[in-house]
Amino acid sequence: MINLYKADMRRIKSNPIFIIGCIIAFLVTFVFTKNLIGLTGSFEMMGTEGRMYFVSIAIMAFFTIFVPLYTNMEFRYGVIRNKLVAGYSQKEVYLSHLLGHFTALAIMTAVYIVAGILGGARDFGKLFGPCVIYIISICGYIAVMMLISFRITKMVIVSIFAFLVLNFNYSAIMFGNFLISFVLKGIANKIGIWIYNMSPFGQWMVWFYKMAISPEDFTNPGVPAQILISVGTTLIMMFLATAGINKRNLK
Amino acid sequence: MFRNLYADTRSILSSRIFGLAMLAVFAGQTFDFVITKVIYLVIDASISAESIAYFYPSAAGFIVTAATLFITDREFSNGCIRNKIISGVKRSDAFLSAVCGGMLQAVMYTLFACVVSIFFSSFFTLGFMAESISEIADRWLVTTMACVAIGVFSTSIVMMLGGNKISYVVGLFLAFAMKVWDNRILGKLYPEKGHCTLTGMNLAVCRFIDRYVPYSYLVARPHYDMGSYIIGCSAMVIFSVVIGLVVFNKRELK
Repeated sequence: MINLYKADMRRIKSNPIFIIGCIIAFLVTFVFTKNLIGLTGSFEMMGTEGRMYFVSIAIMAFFTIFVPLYTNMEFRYGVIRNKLVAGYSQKEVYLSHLLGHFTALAIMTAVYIVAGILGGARDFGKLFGPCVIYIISICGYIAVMMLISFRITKMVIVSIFAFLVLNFNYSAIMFGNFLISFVLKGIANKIGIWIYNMSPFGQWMVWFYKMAISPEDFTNPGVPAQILISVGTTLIMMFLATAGINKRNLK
Repeated sequence: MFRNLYADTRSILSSRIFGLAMLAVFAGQTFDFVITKVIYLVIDASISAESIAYFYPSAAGFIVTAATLFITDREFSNGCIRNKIISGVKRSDAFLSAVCGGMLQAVMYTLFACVVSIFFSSFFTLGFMAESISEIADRWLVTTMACVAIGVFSTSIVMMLGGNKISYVVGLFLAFAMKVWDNRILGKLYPEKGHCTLTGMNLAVCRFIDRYVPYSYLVARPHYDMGSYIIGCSAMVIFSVVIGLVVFNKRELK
């Protein structure tokens, strides 16, 4: 397993999409945080920390592209089959991939933080909590993408499903804002907030709203609940991805 | 050319993904209606047709892009495109035929969505309260034109990049990014409170996208003259076809 992880990391670190993604993450975070393009209005008012946090949503978009492309490439080029021939189980291959993507997320987050600090965001007390919660929620999202990428081997269907999940996340959060604000009351409201926070976009929105728009947090179930939801989502996705996977025949 | 076009059309209409896309349109509209109905029951109000009639435009960018991507990519993964060229079909004919297929799909999905929308609006709501028949027709016409442009654009991307893994994500990512960006642009150009605060270059760029980029026609009801929509859609179709033809004629097929 550890050998698989090391091999994955070597491939991920030399993957051009990942390298370009990290470079873009650095540049975009730096430019936005420092406001080099002279953004006015709400962008100007949200301050350096707010702008830095705002661009972090691009990490979610990046992993929507990277996880399916990278994992499916391993299927297409026969890398996974070679690993199975070498005696590893599909479950081990899955776990090493998942761990590899989590590490890729950690690397990209490090690049993002360095760019943010260089761009002038120094209020760590304000940024630390939201960033940690958001990154944990992205782990859940990566687990969803891994479920799709590992269960479906045809690339075109994987990418359609991956973007379907992304679109659904966006539309559900926009709709969720309306429902939680105006329709759901009492216990239904509480359940709605938990469902809302199952999406990393929802968790990002909770903290972005609080940092940049208004201190009122009507969609926030609390930090422990957010972390619990993300960890729960990750575990459920891992279970769905690995259940009976060792019996699957790869063409 | 026409034999090839006939073969492509037949292949599209008999493909499973075409039926699945139609089903997705119907399922999406039904889901939207059920959710809206439940919400209106909770707040104890009656549904007007406007609340449910325009589910399709909000999802059309994704549906058209995904369906055209799947069907056009099949040509490359099955080796059809190579067989066509070996059997004497000109590259430009193969490209134009695929583009016509993309257009056809967009028109079929939109017409079907229009019929489904009219069915739900007529039988399960109080009817249109704030829009006249001509406004409804206008909106569906603009939606159809925008979908055709997006269908052509998406097909061109796959034909230009076919076989390359990037082709799987470019169109879908663009459809998503444009949807998010257009929502933001609409919020800035027509804020709910106060006046538009954009000036200079920012205002010009936002107005251009709102007026001439077909993705933005799906986000809001038509608010420009029909000429602007025709120019926007035609420009996207012409650019996609011309650039696509140049690239596809020169590239080496894997």
